[in-house]
Amino acid sequence: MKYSYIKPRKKSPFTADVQLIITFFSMTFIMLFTTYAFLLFKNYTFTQDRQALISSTIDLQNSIDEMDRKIAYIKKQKDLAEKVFTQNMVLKDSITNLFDLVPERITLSRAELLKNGLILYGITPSKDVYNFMLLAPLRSIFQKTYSSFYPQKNGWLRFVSTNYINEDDTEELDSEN
Amino acid sequence: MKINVSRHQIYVLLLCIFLLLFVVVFSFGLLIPEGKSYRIKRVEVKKAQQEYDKYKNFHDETFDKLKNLQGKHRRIITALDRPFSVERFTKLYRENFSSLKIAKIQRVTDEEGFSVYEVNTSSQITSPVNFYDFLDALNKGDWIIGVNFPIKFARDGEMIHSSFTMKVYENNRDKNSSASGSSAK
Amino acid sequence: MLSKMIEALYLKVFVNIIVKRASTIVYIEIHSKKKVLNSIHSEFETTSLNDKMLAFIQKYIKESPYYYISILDRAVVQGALPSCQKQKMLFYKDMSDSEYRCYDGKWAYYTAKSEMYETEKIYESIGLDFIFSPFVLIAKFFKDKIVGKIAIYVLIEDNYLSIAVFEDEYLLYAKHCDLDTISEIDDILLSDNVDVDEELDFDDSGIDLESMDVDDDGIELEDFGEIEDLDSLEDIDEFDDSKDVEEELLESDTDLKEADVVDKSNEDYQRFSAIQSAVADYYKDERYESKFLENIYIADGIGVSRELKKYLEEEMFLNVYIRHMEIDVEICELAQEELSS
Repeated sequence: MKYSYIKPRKKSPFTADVQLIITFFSMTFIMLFTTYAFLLFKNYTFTQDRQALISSTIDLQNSIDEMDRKIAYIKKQKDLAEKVFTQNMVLKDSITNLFDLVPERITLSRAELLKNGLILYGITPSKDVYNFMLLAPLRSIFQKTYSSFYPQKNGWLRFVSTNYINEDDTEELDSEN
Repeated sequence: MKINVSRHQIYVLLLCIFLLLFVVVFSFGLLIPEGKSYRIKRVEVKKAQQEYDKYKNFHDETFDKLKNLQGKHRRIITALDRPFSVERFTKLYRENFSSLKIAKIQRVTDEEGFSVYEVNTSSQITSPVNFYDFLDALNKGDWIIGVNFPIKFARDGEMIHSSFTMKVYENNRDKNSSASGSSAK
Repeated sequence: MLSKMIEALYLKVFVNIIVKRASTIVYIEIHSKKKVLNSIHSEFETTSLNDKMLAFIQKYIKESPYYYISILDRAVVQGALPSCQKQKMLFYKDMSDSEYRCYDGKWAYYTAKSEMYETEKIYESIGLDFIFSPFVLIAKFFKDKIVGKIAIYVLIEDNYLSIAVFEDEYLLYAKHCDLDTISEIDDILLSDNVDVDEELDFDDSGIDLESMDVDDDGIELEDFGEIEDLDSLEDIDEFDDSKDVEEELLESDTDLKEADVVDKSNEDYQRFSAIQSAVADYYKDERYESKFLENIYIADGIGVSRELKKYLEEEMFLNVYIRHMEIDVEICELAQEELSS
């Protein structure tokens, strides 16, 4: 200081009232900015979460579709297997019926089971026995029945019985099987 | 009466107005739109979460269903997956027959999306009962096999000579097949 | 940088406090960056700080945060010393209780620390920014004169007297007097003065009535008549012709009020005595470099009567030059100069 004994006090435009105002506004700004930052952050996380959820949902959807396909396939497999098993059982019953059909007095030497027919080779004591005991039941099952006889040395007849089911009926039988 | 306002007071007033304007502009320009966006997004996330939960439940149900089916039909699934082996077949069903012979195997047209192999078989049995037992055993066997016409029986002394065609069903392994492969997991 | 810019936006308020015998003058100047916007003069019946004065000052310092309150130091124990070096200062006075500052590195002015703190305390509700010494005021006011030949410089306040002897910008002697305490010492000093006069005036040697009468007549009555005397006076007044005009104006002002003249002349006589004793001290004291003093420059802060000049001219044979000083304005200028440095 050039002339004065004492130094002047520090002069500042930031008087008490100005400082109060600045403090108040600073607090306000801090709160506003904090809120704003919070909102930005939350919006960002919301966007991220939504994206994640959407993609997870799509994955789940795909997984569900996949499983549905597998389920359908398993059902198909099951249906097939059942069809096959039933077919086999029906076949078994058919064969059982066939051999039950044949009376004691007639002996079969050969049997050919076809899809739509049956060919039997065997020996019968007489025609009558054949006609009454075998032909009649066969006729009730098959539409077309052909029989041919070949006499044998010992008096018995060898026969060949050819039986067919009609085309229409064949379809019915197939569908039943 | 003239009110004397000092420069300092004017500056302070200007400062206040400026700060206030800033607060207002910031609030309405940035804060409020962000707040709106926040609310909207929160609802969206909630909805997405609900959707996801729905799908998750459905997924879990379907998964249980799948597991059930896989468990229930495990035998069928494995049977259809198992490739046909002549040796094994012969070994398994030998006892039903006095003798068993497998002829050739050939692939025929697919049925219902499954590959089908035709196997001609000839065998000798003592009585038809053996055949019945064979058919029963076949249904419980390792493959899905159906016996098809024509089936021929011929008496040969004490034995019955039988010949028949078997259709072995398997999962279609072709790439351009309509049916997809399954697995008994 | 920013603070300088902000400072430029504001007004500056200078509050100057001058304490008189029974009242205080407050002089306020409001400055914008370039010029003086307003100046207010006010006097308050207090020697410290009363409510009215406080309210008055506060009203103006509210104008701007950049306000500076200056006061003229009214300590009883204050003065100035011819040297600025501590060792040399101790030669004149013990400086342990004093606060001093250097002026231009050439001389120092001091004041009592306790009195300075007391002053600060009295005005603590408004605070003080500057405390100025009257000797600085003298040096600044007469800055054109102190560079020259040796002379006495006096600042006359209401109840104080500051006396300094300058030559070539150097201070040779200084004394600060309180008029209230002077009157006691008057009688003693007068006797000494007579001795001094006798030493100097070789012409007035004896108690020769005849010679005395002749001489007295010559000096008293023939002021206007003897042109030779007038010429000699004019020779001495070669430095400042304008100051003579001020002197004449002063004489015309003071002649009007007769009643005041009586009081003033009493006070003026006290002042004269004080000056006389100070000069005597200066001559007697071996510590001070004593040189012959011919001229005296008076900074008149209150308005002295012609009597003082008469006393000084007649009793001490000094060439008297009186300049009127507005103490408050000068203090304000000092404060401004202090800020800009």
